[in-house]
Amino acid sequence: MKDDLHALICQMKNHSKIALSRLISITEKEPDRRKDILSLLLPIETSPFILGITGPPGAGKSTLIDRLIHYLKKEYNKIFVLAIDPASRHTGGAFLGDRIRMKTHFLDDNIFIRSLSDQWLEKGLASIIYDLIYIIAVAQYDLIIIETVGTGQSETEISNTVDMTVAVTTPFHGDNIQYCKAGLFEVSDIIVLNQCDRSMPETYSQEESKGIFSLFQNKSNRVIKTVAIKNKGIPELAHCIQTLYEEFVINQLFEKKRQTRSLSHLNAILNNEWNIRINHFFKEKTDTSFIDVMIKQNPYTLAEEIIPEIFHH
Amino acid sequence: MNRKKILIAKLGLDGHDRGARIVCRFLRDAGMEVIYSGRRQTPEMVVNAAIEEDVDFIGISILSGAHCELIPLLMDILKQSGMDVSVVVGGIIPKNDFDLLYSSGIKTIFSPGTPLETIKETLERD
Repeated sequence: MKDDLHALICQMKNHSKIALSRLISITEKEPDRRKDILSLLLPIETSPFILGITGPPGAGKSTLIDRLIHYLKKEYNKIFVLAIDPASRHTGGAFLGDRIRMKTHFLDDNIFIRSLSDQWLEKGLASIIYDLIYIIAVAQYDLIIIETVGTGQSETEISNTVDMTVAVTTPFHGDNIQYCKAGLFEVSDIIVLNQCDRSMPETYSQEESKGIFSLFQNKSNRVIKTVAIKNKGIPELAHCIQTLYEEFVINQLFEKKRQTRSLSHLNAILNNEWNIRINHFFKEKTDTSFIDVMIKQNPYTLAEEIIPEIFHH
Repeated sequence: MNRKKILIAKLGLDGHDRGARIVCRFLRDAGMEVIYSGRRQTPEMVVNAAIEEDVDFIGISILSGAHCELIPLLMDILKQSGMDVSVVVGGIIPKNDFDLLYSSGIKTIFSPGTPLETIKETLERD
């Protein structure tokens, strides 16, 4: 028996957590229904603030979010946390271990925590994240926090999806050479240096820490030191986020971000359609004659020949 | 591909979670999505987490002896919530208490020594 989308959306608008949860599951598991779901939701009339928290594994993102919510609750009525964790590349299974760090909010009616396995996100951030943002917005959440592991393509892709990006790292994740590299830190709006209470490595010095953030020459106020498990630096981080939010409003940046997000959404859907066709193509070409050709021929020439075939699949 | 999703949690004042974590790892390797919400959960916290994560199963690990109190309480809160999910229980559960637990509506009890494969098969069959 298929879930009635109309009924679910109606219940969801009336603050039913079960309905919202169900709708998210349908979006995950039944990609063919995403178009219908979005048809029923659009046009979206609310615009929640979307905050991205990213960074290397073990930096303390989930713990940080748990502490941060206590302060952000004062500004926002309903907060949704989407916590993304890696899926096994061998089995496709996943251990979703972000929720466990946010226990203090498990019984709050106005806070919703949902874990998501990144099996959907193989090629950068897939379209599902954008679909979920729409659903959560219609469910009247005014703050959406998306937590991702900051490695690979999703590391910089997150900044195209959210309004503000916070990168969380620790003094143990690199030196000033590391921070010169392109990627995560150049796309971030705020950098959090977490676990600052641990004894620093011998090579670490005050000079290093200044060098680390030389990327942020004019924005030293956007580098926050924290010890999340002890709640240190968290009020300062919350304040920094709010201050930056106000700056974004004054500079009218939110409209531009919405446009970027729409573009990325469409891009993700098109990429997905294309990848499905490519996969079908390869599934059908199991005969050895094709493999013989493939090994011998110039792959660029072969690709030129294949593209029209895949396109018209 | 639609994977089964399970929430594994420990109710009450029971700190021994090695067994729970082993089951978590095994089920992850078997291709399931596993959420471990940790120790010292109340039945309300477990039900709320199950709703938000829309899981197919709740797996309770309990070694403290408090199962006769906590499991029926959990099943009660679950019924009231309107959420449809199978509950399985593992840990130290004396055979004398099986009837009480089954009559509260749980699906299966996995006693000590149950092979991990059996747990996986039970969940896959549902």
